[in-house]
Amino acid sequence: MMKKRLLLTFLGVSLLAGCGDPMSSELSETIYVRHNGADMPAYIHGNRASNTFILVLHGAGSYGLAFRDGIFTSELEERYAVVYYDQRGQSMSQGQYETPEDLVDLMVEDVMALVKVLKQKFGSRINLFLMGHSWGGALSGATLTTEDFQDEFAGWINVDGAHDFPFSASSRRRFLMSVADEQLFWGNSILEWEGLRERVSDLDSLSEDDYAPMLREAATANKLLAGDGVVPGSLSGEKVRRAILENNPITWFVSDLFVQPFQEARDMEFSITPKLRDLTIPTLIIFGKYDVSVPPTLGADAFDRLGSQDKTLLILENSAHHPHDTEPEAFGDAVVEFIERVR
Amino acid sequence: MFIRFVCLCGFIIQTSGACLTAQTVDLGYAGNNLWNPGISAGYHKPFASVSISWAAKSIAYWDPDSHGAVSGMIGLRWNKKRNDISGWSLGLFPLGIYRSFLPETWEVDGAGNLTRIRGAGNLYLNPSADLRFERSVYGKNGSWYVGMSGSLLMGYNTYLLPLMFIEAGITLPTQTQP
Repeated sequence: MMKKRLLLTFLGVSLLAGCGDPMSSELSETIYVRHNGADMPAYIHGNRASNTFILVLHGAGSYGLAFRDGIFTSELEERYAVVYYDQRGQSMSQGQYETPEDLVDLMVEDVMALVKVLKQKFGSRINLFLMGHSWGGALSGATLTTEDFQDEFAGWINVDGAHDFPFSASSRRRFLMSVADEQLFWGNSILEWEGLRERVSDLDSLSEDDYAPMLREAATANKLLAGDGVVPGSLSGEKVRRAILENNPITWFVSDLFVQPFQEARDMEFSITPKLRDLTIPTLIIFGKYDVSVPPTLGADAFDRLGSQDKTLLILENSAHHPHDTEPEAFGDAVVEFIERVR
Repeated sequence: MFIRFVCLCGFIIQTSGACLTAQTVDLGYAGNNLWNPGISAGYHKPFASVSISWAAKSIAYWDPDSHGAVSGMIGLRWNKKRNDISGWSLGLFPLGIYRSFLPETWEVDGAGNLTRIRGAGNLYLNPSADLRFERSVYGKNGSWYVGMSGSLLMGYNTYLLPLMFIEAGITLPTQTQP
Protein backbone atom coordinates (compact mmCIF):
# COMPACT_ATOMS: atom_id res chain seq x y z
CA MET A 1 0.00 0.00 0.00
CA MET A 2 2.80 2.35 0.95
CA LYS A 3 4.64 1.56 -2.27
CA LYS A 4 1.49 2.35 -4.29
CA ARG A 5 1.12 5.72 -2.55
CA LEU A 6 4.75 6.57 -3.18
CA LEU A 7 4.41 5.62 -6.84
CA LEU A 8 1.29 7.72 -7.29
CA THR A 9 2.94 10.67 -5.56
CA PHE A 10 6.01 10.31 -7.76
CA LEU A 11 3.85 10.23 -10.90
CA GLY A 12 1.88 13.27 -9.76
CA VAL A 13 5.01 15.30 -9.08
CA SER A 14 6.46 14.25 -12.43
CA LEU A 15 3.34 15.40 -14.24
CA LEU A 16 3.38 18.73 -12.45
CA ALA A 17 7.05 19.24 -13.20
CA GLY A 18 6.38 18.55 -16.86
CA CYS A 19 3.74 21.25 -17.07
CA GLY A 20 4.71 24.29 -19.08
CA ASP A 21 5.84 27.58 -17.65
CA PRO A 22 2.64 29.39 -16.56
CA MET A 23 3.99 32.53 -18.27
CA SER A 24 4.26 30.85 -21.69
CA SER A 25 0.70 31.65 -22.73
CA GLU A 26 -0.22 32.64 -26.24
CA LEU A 27 -1.64 36.13 -26.51
CA SER A 28 -4.63 36.85 -28.72
CA GLU A 29 -6.56 39.84 -27.56
CA THR A 30 -7.88 43.21 -28.63
CA ILE A 31 -7.66 46.21 -26.37
CA TYR A 32 -8.62 49.82 -26.99
CA VAL A 33 -6.71 52.89 -25.89
CA ARG A 34 -8.77 56.00 -25.34
CA HIS A 35 -6.80 59.21 -25.67
CA ASN A 36 -8.00 62.70 -26.45
CA GLY A 37 -11.35 61.66 -27.91
CA ALA A 38 -10.11 58.70 -29.98
CA ASP A 39 -10.57 55.00 -29.22
CA MET A 40 -7.77 53.14 -30.98
CA PRO A 41 -7.58 49.34 -31.13
CA ALA A 42 -4.42 47.37 -30.53
CA TYR A 43 -4.49 43.71 -31.56
CA ILE A 44 -1.96 41.77 -29.51
CA HIS A 45 -0.82 38.35 -30.69
CA GLY A 46 2.12 36.11 -29.92
CA ASN A 47 4.41 34.86 -27.25
CA ARG A 48 3.80 36.47 -23.88
CA ALA A 49 6.52 34.46 -22.19
CA SER A 50 9.22 36.19 -24.24
CA ASN A 51 8.53 39.42 -22.32
CA THR A 52 9.38 41.15 -25.61
CA PHE A 53 6.82 43.20 -27.53
CA ILE A 54 7.05 44.65 -31.02
CA LEU A 55 4.73 47.63 -31.46
CA VAL A 56 4.01 48.04 -35.17
CA LEU A 57 3.06 51.44 -36.62
CA HIS A 58 1.44 51.06 -40.04
CA GLY A 59 1.95 53.22 -43.10
CA ALA A 60 -0.26 55.79 -44.78
CA GLY A 61 -3.67 54.45 -45.75
CA SER A 62 -2.92 51.12 -44.12
CA TYR A 63 -4.06 49.46 -40.90
CA GLY A 64 -2.53 47.49 -38.06
CA LEU A 65 -3.62 44.00 -39.05
CA ALA A 66 -2.24 44.47 -42.58
CA PHE A 67 1.04 43.18 -41.16
CA ARG A 68 -0.43 40.10 -39.54
CA ASP A 69 0.60 37.49 -42.07
CA GLY A 70 3.73 36.00 -43.58
CA ILE A 71 6.84 36.40 -41.48
CA PHE A 72 4.92 38.13 -38.69
CA THR A 73 2.74 35.11 -37.96
CA SER A 74 5.19 32.40 -38.95
CA GLU A 75 8.17 33.67 -37.00
CA LEU A 76 7.83 36.93 -35.09
CA GLU A 77 4.67 35.92 -33.19
CA GLU A 78 6.27 32.58 -32.33
CA ARG A 79 9.15 34.36 -30.66
CA TYR A 80 7.64 37.61 -29.38
CA ALA A 81 4.36 39.38 -28.80
CA VAL A 82 3.38 41.69 -31.66
CA VAL A 83 1.07 44.66 -31.16
CA TYR A 84 -0.79 45.67 -34.32
CA TYR A 85 -2.19 49.15 -33.77
CA ASP A 86 -4.71 51.23 -35.73
CA GLN A 87 -3.65 54.86 -35.51
CA ARG A 88 -6.06 57.72 -34.78
CA GLY A 89 -8.77 58.07 -37.42
CA GLN A 90 -7.49 55.02 -39.32
CA SER A 91 -9.31 51.75 -40.00
CA MET A 92 -11.21 50.59 -36.88
CA SER A 93 -10.30 53.54 -34.65
CA GLN A 94 -13.40 55.38 -33.55
CA GLY A 95 -14.35 58.25 -31.26
CA GLN A 96 -15.43 61.85 -31.49
CA TYR A 97 -13.10 64.81 -31.56
CA GLU A 98 -12.41 68.04 -33.40
CA THR A 99 -9.84 68.07 -36.17
CA PRO A 100 -6.60 68.57 -34.25
CA GLU A 101 -4.32 71.49 -35.00
CA ASP A 102 -1.19 69.37 -34.91
CA LEU A 103 -2.16 65.85 -35.88
CA VAL A 104 1.38 64.46 -35.90
CA ASP A 105 2.15 65.62 -32.36
CA LEU A 106 -1.16 64.19 -31.18
CA MET A 107 -0.40 60.86 -32.84
CA VAL A 108 2.94 60.77 -31.02
CA GLU A 109 1.04 61.21 -27.77
CA ASP A 110 -1.33 58.42 -28.84
CA VAL A 111 1.63 56.05 -29.28
CA MET A 112 2.93 56.89 -25.82
CA ALA A 113 -0.55 56.39 -24.37
CA LEU A 114 -0.53 52.88 -25.86
CA VAL A 115 2.93 52.28 -24.39
CA LYS A 116 1.61 53.23 -20.95
CA VAL A 117 -1.26 50.79 -21.32
CA LEU A 118 1.02 47.97 -22.48
CA LYS A 119 3.33 48.49 -19.53
CA GLN A 120 0.37 48.63 -17.15
CA LYS A 121 -1.00 45.37 -18.54
CA PHE A 122 2.14 43.38 -19.08
CA GLY A 123 4.58 44.94 -16.64
CA SER A 124 6.90 47.90 -16.73
CA ARG A 125 9.93 45.70 -17.44
CA ILE A 126 8.81 44.38 -20.82
CA ASN A 127 11.27 44.81 -23.69
CA LEU A 128 9.42 47.08 -26.08
CA PHE A 129 10.60 47.56 -29.67
CA LEU A 130 9.02 50.21 -31.88
CA MET A 131 8.68 49.19 -35.54
CA GLY A 132 7.36 51.66 -38.11
CA HIS A 133 6.78 51.16 -41.82
CA SER A 134 6.70 54.07 -44.30
CA TRP A 135 4.56 56.79 -42.64
CA GLY A 136 4.77 54.62 -39.51
CA GLY A 137 8.56 54.94 -39.77
CA ALA A 138 8.15 58.72 -39.72
CA LEU A 139 5.74 58.52 -36.78
CA SER A 140 8.02 56.16 -34.87
CA GLY A 141 10.98 58.47 -35.48
CA ALA A 142 8.94 61.45 -34.33
CA THR A 143 7.96 59.54 -31.18
CA LEU A 144 11.52 58.56 -30.32
CA THR A 145 12.87 62.07 -30.86
CA THR A 146 10.24 63.71 -28.66
CA GLU A 147 11.27 64.52 -25.09
CA ASP A 148 12.68 61.40 -23.44
CA PHE A 149 10.20 58.98 -25.01
CA GLN A 150 13.00 56.82 -26.44
CA ASP A 151 13.77 55.71 -22.86
CA GLU A 152 10.58 53.60 -22.96
CA PHE A 153 11.92 51.47 -25.82
CA ALA A 154 14.66 48.88 -26.17
CA GLY A 155 15.13 49.57 -29.85
CA TRP A 156 13.80 51.08 -33.09
CA ILE A 157 13.13 49.16 -36.29
CA ASN A 158 12.64 51.58 -39.16
CA VAL A 159 11.22 49.91 -42.28
CA ASP A 160 11.29 52.18 -45.34
CA GLY A 161 10.43 55.11 -43.10
CA ALA A 162 10.49 58.73 -44.26
CA HIS A 163 12.21 60.80 -41.58
CA ASP A 164 12.40 63.84 -43.88
CA PHE A 165 9.54 64.48 -46.29
CA PRO A 166 11.15 67.27 -48.36
CA PHE A 167 14.30 65.17 -48.75
CA SER A 168 12.21 62.15 -49.73
CA ALA A 169 10.39 64.15 -52.42
CA SER A 170 13.61 65.66 -53.77
CA SER A 171 15.33 62.24 -53.84
CA ARG A 172 12.55 60.54 -55.73
CA ARG A 173 13.30 62.01 -59.16
CA ARG A 174 17.01 61.19 -59.03
CA PHE A 175 16.26 57.70 -57.75
CA LEU A 176 13.65 56.96 -60.40
CA MET A 177 16.11 57.97 -63.11
CA SER A 178 18.80 55.71 -61.65
CA VAL A 179 16.40 52.75 -61.45
CA ALA A 180 15.36 53.41 -65.06
CA ASP A 181 19.03 53.51 -66.14
CA GLU A 182 19.70 50.23 -64.36
CA GLN A 183 16.70 48.47 -65.90
CA LEU A 184 17.61 49.77 -69.37
CA PHE A 185 21.14 48.44 -68.88
CA TRP A 186 19.67 45.01 -68.12
CA GLY A 187 17.36 45.25 -71.14
CA ASN A 188 14.09 45.09 -69.16
CA SER A 189 10.95 46.64 -70.71
CA ILE A 190 13.10 49.01 -72.72
CA LEU A 191 10.34 51.09 -74.30
CA GLU A 192 8.49 51.51 -71.02
CA TRP A 193 11.55 52.49 -69.01
CA GLU A 194 12.69 54.90 -71.70
CA GLY A 195 9.30 56.56 -71.65
CA LEU A 196 9.31 56.73 -67.87
CA ARG A 197 12.80 58.19 -67.81
CA GLU A 198 11.83 60.87 -70.29
CA ARG A 199 8.70 61.82 -68.37
CA VAL A 200 10.51 61.92 -65.03
CA SER A 201 13.31 64.06 -66.45
CA ASP A 202 10.72 66.75 -67.25
CA LEU A 203 9.39 66.81 -63.69
CA ASP A 204 10.64 69.12 -60.97
CA SER A 205 11.03 67.20 -57.73
CA LEU A 206 10.62 70.38 -55.67
CA SER A 207 7.46 71.54 -57.46
CA GLU A 208 4.12 71.07 -55.76
CA ASP A 209 2.46 70.70 -59.17
CA ASP A 210 4.76 67.82 -60.09
CA TYR A 211 4.32 65.90 -56.82
CA ALA A 212 1.31 63.85 -57.94
CA PRO A 213 2.75 63.12 -61.43
CA MET A 214 5.98 61.98 -59.76
CA LEU A 215 4.04 59.56 -57.56
CA ARG A 216 2.25 58.24 -60.64
CA GLU A 217 5.59 57.54 -62.30
CA ALA A 218 6.72 55.80 -59.09
CA ALA A 219 3.63 53.59 -59.31
CA THR A 220 4.46 52.83 -62.96
CA ALA A 221 8.01 51.93 -61.96
CA ASN A 222 6.65 49.53 -59.31
CA LYS A 223 4.49 47.80 -61.93
CA LEU A 224 7.41 47.47 -64.34
CA LEU A 225 9.70 46.07 -61.64
CA ALA A 226 7.06 43.51 -60.62
CA GLY A 227 6.28 42.65 -64.24
CA ASP A 228 9.94 41.97 -65.02
CA GLY A 229 10.35 39.88 -61.87
CA VAL A 230 12.91 42.24 -60.37
CA VAL A 231 10.70 42.57 -57.27
CA PRO A 232 8.11 39.90 -56.38
CA GLY A 233 4.48 40.91 -55.92
CA SER A 234 3.62 41.78 -52.33
CA LEU A 235 -0.14 41.17 -52.35
CA SER A 236 -0.89 37.66 -51.08
CA GLY A 237 -4.25 35.92 -50.92
CA GLU A 238 -4.00 35.93 -47.14
CA LYS A 239 -3.49 39.69 -47.15
CA VAL A 240 -6.56 40.23 -49.35
CA ARG A 241 -8.63 37.88 -47.17
CA ARG A 242 -7.60 39.75 -44.04
CA ALA A 243 -8.32 43.15 -45.63
CA ILE A 244 -11.86 42.13 -46.49
CA LEU A 245 -12.92 39.74 -43.76
CA GLU A 246 -11.04 40.72 -40.62
CA ASN A 247 -10.68 44.38 -41.31
CA ASN A 248 -13.78 46.38 -42.22
CA PRO A 249 -13.05 47.52 -45.78
CA ILE A 250 -15.70 50.27 -45.82
CA THR A 251 -14.49 51.75 -42.56
CA TRP A 252 -10.90 51.48 -43.73
CA PHE A 253 -11.59 53.16 -47.08
CA VAL A 254 -13.65 56.00 -45.64
CA SER A 255 -11.28 56.70 -42.78
CA ASP A 256 -8.40 56.97 -45.23
CA LEU A 257 -10.38 59.53 -47.24
CA PHE A 258 -10.86 61.83 -44.29
CA VAL A 259 -7.78 61.35 -42.12
CA GLN A 260 -4.45 61.59 -43.89
CA PRO A 261 -1.61 62.21 -41.48
CA PHE A 262 0.81 61.63 -44.32
CA GLN A 263 -0.69 64.61 -46.17
CA GLU A 264 -0.54 66.70 -43.04
CA ALA A 265 3.12 65.78 -42.59
CA ARG A 266 3.79 66.78 -46.19
CA ASP A 267 2.05 70.13 -45.71
CA MET A 268 4.14 70.89 -42.63
CA GLU A 269 7.32 69.63 -44.37
CA PHE A 270 7.86 67.03 -41.68
CA SER A 271 11.48 66.41 -40.80
CA ILE A 272 13.23 64.99 -37.76
CA THR A 273 16.66 65.21 -39.42
CA PRO A 274 18.13 67.64 -36.86
CA LYS A 275 16.94 65.45 -33.99
CA LEU A 276 18.34 62.15 -35.19
CA ARG A 277 21.67 62.72 -33.47
CA ASP A 278 19.79 62.70 -30.15
CA LEU A 279 18.28 59.29 -30.88
CA THR A 280 20.63 56.90 -29.12
CA ILE A 281 18.72 53.63 -28.69
CA PRO A 282 19.78 50.63 -30.81
CA THR A 283 18.34 50.93 -34.30
CA LEU A 284 17.79 48.64 -37.26
CA ILE A 285 16.96 50.32 -40.56
CA ILE A 286 15.59 48.09 -43.35
CA PHE A 287 14.94 49.41 -46.85
CA GLY A 288 14.08 47.81 -50.15
CA LYS A 289 16.65 48.55 -52.86
CA TYR A 290 13.91 49.47 -55.33
CA ASP A 291 11.72 51.52 -52.99
CA VAL A 292 10.62 54.36 -55.28
CA SER A 293 8.14 55.65 -52.68
CA VAL A 294 10.74 56.31 -49.98
CA PRO A 295 14.12 55.97 -51.69
CA PRO A 296 16.86 54.08 -49.84
CA THR A 297 18.85 57.31 -49.75
CA LEU A 298 16.58 58.16 -46.81
CA GLY A 299 17.71 55.02 -45.02
CA ALA A 300 21.35 55.85 -45.59
CA ASP A 301 20.81 59.43 -44.44
CA ALA A 302 19.07 58.30 -41.24
CA PHE A 303 21.84 55.79 -40.58
CA ASP A 304 24.55 58.44 -40.94
CA ARG A 305 22.80 60.94 -38.68
CA LEU A 306 21.65 58.64 -35.88
CA GLY A 307 23.32 59.13 -32.53
CA SER A 308 23.02 55.39 -31.76
CA GLN A 309 26.20 53.44 -31.19
CA ASP A 310 24.39 50.24 -32.15
CA LYS A 311 22.86 50.83 -35.56
CA THR A 312 22.44 48.68 -38.65
CA LEU A 313 21.38 49.52 -42.19
CA LEU A 314 20.08 46.63 -44.29
CA ILE A 315 19.17 47.10 -47.95
CA LEU A 316 17.23 44.14 -49.34
CA GLU A 317 18.18 43.62 -52.97
CA ASN A 318 14.91 42.21 -54.30
CA SER A 319 12.46 44.48 -52.54
CA ALA A 320 10.66 47.76 -53.05
CA HIS A 321 8.46 49.41 -50.43
CA HIS A 322 7.35 46.25 -48.59
CA PRO A 323 10.46 44.20 -47.80
CA HIS A 324 8.59 42.28 -45.07
CA ASP A 325 6.36 40.87 -47.82
CA THR A 326 8.83 40.50 -50.68
CA GLU A 327 11.84 39.10 -48.75
CA PRO A 328 10.23 37.79 -45.57
CA GLU A 329 13.00 35.41 -44.52
CA ALA A 330 15.76 38.01 -44.78
CA PHE A 331 13.51 40.55 -43.07
CA GLY A 332 12.62 38.16 -40.27
CA ASP A 333 16.22 37.06 -39.74
CA ALA A 334 17.38 40.66 -39.45
CA VAL A 335 14.66 41.59 -36.97
CA VAL A 336 15.25 38.50 -34.82
CA GLU A 337 19.02 38.95 -34.82
CA PHE A 338 18.58 42.59 -33.81
CA ILE A 339 16.12 41.88 -31.01
CA GLU A 340 18.11 38.95 -29.64
CA ARG A 341 21.26 41.07 -29.58
CA VAL A 342 19.66 44.04 -27.92
CA ARG A 343 17.13 42.72 -25.41
CA MET B 1 -12.18 29.94 -44.38
CA PHE B 2 -13.96 30.79 -41.22
CA ILE B 3 -17.42 32.11 -42.06
CA ARG B 4 -19.00 34.11 -39.31
CA PHE B 5 -22.60 33.83 -40.30
CA VAL B 6 -25.36 33.59 -37.69
CA CYS B 7 -28.83 32.98 -39.05
CA LEU B 8 -31.64 33.78 -36.66
CA CYS B 9 -34.48 33.24 -39.11
CA GLY B 10 -37.22 31.32 -37.38
CA PHE B 11 -40.21 29.52 -38.77
CA ILE B 12 -42.07 30.90 -41.84
CA ILE B 13 -45.88 31.08 -41.79
CA GLN B 14 -48.12 31.05 -44.83
CA THR B 15 -49.81 34.30 -45.70
CA SER B 16 -51.78 35.81 -48.55
CA GLY B 17 -49.93 39.08 -48.50
CA ALA B 18 -51.54 40.46 -45.37
CA CYS B 19 -47.97 40.97 -44.18
CA LEU B 20 -47.78 44.00 -46.42
CA THR B 21 -50.85 45.70 -44.98
CA ALA B 22 -51.16 44.68 -41.33
CA GLN B 23 -49.54 45.86 -38.14
CA THR B 24 -46.45 43.67 -38.05
CA VAL B 25 -43.27 42.77 -36.27
CA ASP B 26 -40.20 41.40 -37.96
CA LEU B 27 -37.12 39.56 -36.81
CA GLY B 28 -34.11 38.42 -38.75
CA TYR B 29 -30.40 38.35 -39.46
CA ALA B 30 -28.62 41.65 -40.06
CA GLY B 31 -25.04 41.15 -41.21
CA ASN B 32 -22.74 44.13 -41.16
CA ASN B 33 -20.87 43.84 -44.47
CA LEU B 34 -22.68 40.47 -44.67
CA TRP B 35 -20.36 38.54 -42.39
CA ASN B 36 -20.28 40.42 -39.08
CA PRO B 37 -23.28 38.73 -37.48
CA GLY B 38 -26.24 40.56 -35.99
CA ILE B 39 -29.97 40.59 -35.52
CA SER B 40 -32.63 43.03 -36.64
CA ALA B 41 -36.04 43.54 -35.07
CA GLY B 42 -38.78 45.89 -36.21
CA TYR B 43 -42.36 47.02 -35.68
CA HIS B 44 -44.72 48.60 -38.23
CA LYS B 45 -48.11 50.26 -37.69
CA PRO B 46 -50.04 51.47 -40.74
CA PHE B 47 -51.50 54.94 -40.77
CA ALA B 48 -53.36 57.09 -43.26
CA SER B 49 -53.19 54.38 -45.89
CA VAL B 50 -52.29 50.72 -45.67
CA SER B 51 -49.19 51.25 -47.75
CA ILE B 52 -47.50 53.59 -45.29
CA SER B 53 -46.51 52.57 -41.79
CA TRP B 54 -44.85 54.06 -38.80
CA ALA B 55 -41.76 51.96 -38.34
CA ALA B 56 -39.35 51.30 -35.52
CA LYS B 57 -36.27 49.15 -35.92
CA SER B 58 -33.30 47.98 -33.94
CA ILE B 59 -30.10 46.28 -35.05
CA ALA B 60 -27.48 44.67 -32.84
CA TYR B 61 -24.29 43.32 -34.40
CA TRP B 62 -20.86 42.10 -33.52
CA ASP B 63 -17.56 42.58 -35.34
CA PRO B 64 -15.62 39.71 -33.76
CA ASP B 65 -12.22 41.34 -34.16
CA SER B 66 -13.04 44.73 -32.76
CA HIS B 67 -16.40 45.73 -31.27
CA GLY B 68 -20.15 45.30 -30.98
CA ALA B 69 -22.95 47.82 -31.39
CA VAL B 70 -26.67 48.41 -30.97
CA SER B 71 -28.75 50.93 -32.89
CA GLY B 72 -32.37 52.02 -32.65
CA MET B 73 -34.29 54.08 -35.19
CA ILE B 74 -37.78 55.31 -36.03
CA GLY B 75 -39.28 56.46 -39.29
CA LEU B 76 -41.66 55.42 -42.03
CA ARG B 77 -42.04 52.40 -44.27
CA TRP B 78 -43.64 52.42 -47.70
CA ASN B 79 -45.02 49.17 -49.04
CA LYS B 80 -45.69 48.43 -52.68
CA LYS B 81 -47.33 45.19 -53.73
CA ARG B 82 -46.16 43.39 -56.83
CA ASN B 83 -48.98 40.90 -56.62
CA ASP B 84 -51.08 39.21 -53.94
CA ILE B 85 -48.16 37.53 -52.23
CA SER B 86 -45.07 39.68 -52.71
CA GLY B 87 -43.87 43.24 -52.81
CA TRP B 88 -41.23 45.78 -51.96
CA SER B 89 -40.87 48.03 -48.99
CA LEU B 90 -38.73 51.08 -48.47
CA GLY B 91 -37.90 52.14 -44.93
CA LEU B 92 -36.64 55.63 -44.11
CA PHE B 93 -35.42 56.22 -40.56
CA PRO B 94 -34.20 59.79 -40.08
CA LEU B 95 -34.11 59.45 -36.31
CA GLY B 96 -31.59 56.90 -35.18
CA ILE B 97 -29.02 56.40 -32.50
CA TYR B 98 -26.07 54.01 -32.41
CA ARG B 99 -23.96 52.88 -29.49
CA SER B 100 -20.75 50.88 -29.88
CA PHE B 101 -19.40 48.54 -27.22
CA LEU B 102 -15.66 48.09 -27.04
CA PRO B 103 -13.68 45.31 -25.37
CA GLU B 104 -11.05 46.06 -22.73
CA THR B 105 -10.47 49.83 -22.89
CA TRP B 106 -7.97 51.99 -21.07
CA GLU B 107 -8.16 55.75 -20.96
CA VAL B 108 -5.01 57.85 -20.74
CA ASP B 109 -5.64 61.44 -19.75
CA GLY B 110 -3.54 64.52 -20.41
CA ALA B 111 -1.54 63.97 -17.25
CA GLY B 112 -0.73 60.40 -18.25
CA ASN B 113 -3.06 58.77 -15.71
CA LEU B 114 -4.57 55.41 -16.68
CA THR B 115 -8.13 54.35 -16.00
CA ARG B 116 -9.81 51.14 -17.05
CA ILE B 117 -13.16 52.04 -18.65
CA ARG B 118 -16.01 49.54 -18.17
CA GLY B 119 -18.64 49.44 -20.90
CA ALA B 120 -16.60 51.73 -23.15
CA GLY B 121 -18.15 52.81 -26.40
CA ASN B 122 -19.30 55.74 -28.48
CA LEU B 123 -22.72 57.23 -29.21
CA TYR B 124 -23.55 58.50 -32.70
CA LEU B 125 -26.56 59.81 -34.57
CA ASN B 126 -27.52 57.08 -37.02
CA PRO B 127 -30.06 57.92 -39.75
CA SER B 128 -30.68 55.00 -42.06
CA ALA B 129 -32.71 53.54 -44.91
CA ASP B 130 -33.51 50.06 -46.10
CA LEU B 131 -35.01 48.34 -49.09
CA ARG B 132 -36.70 44.96 -48.70
CA PHE B 133 -38.37 42.37 -50.82
CA GLU B 134 -41.14 40.47 -49.01
CA ARG B 135 -42.96 37.33 -49.97
CA SER B 136 -45.63 35.35 -48.20
CA VAL B 137 -45.25 31.62 -48.21
CA TYR B 138 -48.11 29.69 -46.65
CA GLY B 139 -51.07 31.92 -45.97
CA LYS B 140 -52.20 35.04 -44.07
CA ASN B 141 -49.89 34.89 -41.11
CA GLY B 142 -46.46 35.98 -42.17
CA SER B 143 -43.79 36.27 -44.79
CA TRP B 144 -40.06 36.29 -45.28
CA TYR B 145 -38.00 39.24 -46.38
CA VAL B 146 -34.55 39.98 -47.74
CA GLY B 147 -32.99 43.37 -48.16
CA MET B 148 -30.20 45.80 -47.63
CA SER B 149 -29.84 48.77 -45.38
CA GLY B 150 -27.43 51.65 -45.23
CA SER B 151 -26.86 54.18 -42.52
CA LEU B 152 -24.53 56.96 -41.47
CA LEU B 153 -22.70 57.38 -38.19
CA MET B 154 -22.55 61.12 -37.64
CA GLY B 155 -19.69 62.58 -35.70
CA TYR B 156 -17.57 59.42 -36.20
CA ASN B 157 -14.03 60.57 -35.48
CA THR B 158 -14.03 63.82 -37.48
CA TYR B 159 -16.29 62.64 -40.30
CA LEU B 160 -19.32 60.53 -41.25
CA LEU B 161 -19.04 56.78 -41.55
CA PRO B 162 -21.38 54.71 -43.73
CA LEU B 163 -22.54 51.29 -42.56
CA MET B 164 -24.05 48.58 -44.71
CA PHE B 165 -26.14 45.59 -43.65
CA ILE B 166 -27.61 42.61 -45.41
CA GLU B 167 -30.94 41.63 -43.81
CA ALA B 168 -33.13 38.56 -44.01
CA GLY B 169 -35.91 37.43 -41.73
CA ILE B 170 -39.57 36.95 -41.11
CA THR B 171 -42.50 39.32 -40.75
CA LEU B 172 -45.45 38.40 -38.56
CA PRO B 173 -48.71 40.33 -38.27
CA THR B 174 -49.73 41.33 -34.75
CA GLN B 175 -53.15 42.43 -35.96
CA THR B 176 -55.00 40.82 -38.85
CA GLN B 177 -56.61 42.96 -41.45
CA PRO B 178 -60.44 42.97 -41.20
